[in-house]
Amino acid sequence: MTPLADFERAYARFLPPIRAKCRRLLGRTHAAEDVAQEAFLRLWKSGAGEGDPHTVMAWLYRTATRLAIDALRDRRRSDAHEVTEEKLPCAVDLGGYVEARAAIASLASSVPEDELAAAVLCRIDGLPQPEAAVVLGVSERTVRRLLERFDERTTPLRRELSS
Amino acid sequence: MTIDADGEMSTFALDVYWAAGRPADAALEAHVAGCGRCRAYLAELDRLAEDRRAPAAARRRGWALPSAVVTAVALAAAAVLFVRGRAAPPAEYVGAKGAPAVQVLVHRDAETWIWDARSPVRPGDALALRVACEGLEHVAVASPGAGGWERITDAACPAGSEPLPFTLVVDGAPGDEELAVVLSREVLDDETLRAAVTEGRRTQDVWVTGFVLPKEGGSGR
Repeated sequence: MTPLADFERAYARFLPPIRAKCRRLLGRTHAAEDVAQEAFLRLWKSGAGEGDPHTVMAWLYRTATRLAIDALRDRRRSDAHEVTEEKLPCAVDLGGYVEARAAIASLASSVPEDELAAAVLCRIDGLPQPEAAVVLGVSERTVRRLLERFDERTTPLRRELSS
Repeated sequence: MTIDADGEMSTFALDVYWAAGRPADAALEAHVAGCGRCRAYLAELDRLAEDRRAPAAARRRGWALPSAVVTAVALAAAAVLFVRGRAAPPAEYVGAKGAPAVQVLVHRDAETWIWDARSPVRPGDALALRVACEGLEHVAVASPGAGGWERITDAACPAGSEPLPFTLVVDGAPGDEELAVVLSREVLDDETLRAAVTEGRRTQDVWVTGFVLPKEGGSGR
């Protein structure tokens, strides 16, 4: 297997899911494409692209989540885009997704990154907490605590959105 | 793997399943067969993969122009280098675990994308290079000239992943565009550079890779 083939294979396997993930948070924007490319470039440079798909995907999810949060903070908002239930797998609740996305976009600059990352993974990407814990490299208890803190911060905003 | 207690699948689980080439998994296949949303999500990944494999001309939509590339292109007026080429070296688009790597970015009209190692470039396209130097400190770009490989520019390796601070513009001369990128620990004199490119040298101190970019209307390969 040549290095070129390694690279091409990893690119073909992992870039589409990461593009889809970035679009969930950032919309169909240039920023989403940039973040996906940057996450893949970092994977390439790290030499981690030849692991098993679960490990590589966890690495990419973790990296892309943090890069996307940085992009959100730069822009201070996410571009509006329409999402319908058909575009999300069954584990993602559409109402929760829309609410979380608005909260994350509004609070990106003031909420600690770990809380945002947990919220993105669990509320935007629809990962169960054990899966999010694997991606973030923390315990399930930590994920639970991060989500609780995020929810406490966003309660006023959610009230506002629902009124 | 992957179906939760509520009988649902997360995006992560679907992404792993898709990236693994949809391996045989009876429970998962049964779930997908009965779940329109998960089927639609997997179809969307298929579509994104096709989008990536599509010819460059059809794919050039909506890709970001990274700010660093904007900078590089803005510098083009001051540092335009016309790439001419003929006979030459190895591969196209190289990356390896832990090894240095070079990526070619093509800028056309208002859009920029990563060259896919196959699609032809056009006269007027601006090319930027993004390198992962992996500890090496200098990068030189060479192209074939009358006297063999000739240096066309030098730069320090960037600390981050931003493109190198110059842009190459494809000219209208017939034939493929050929480039050699040389990463090194120290700046190489012309003779050493030429020898390194000719040998395709890859040592701890020098790492060479070559690109042959077919040009629309060129001779092709």
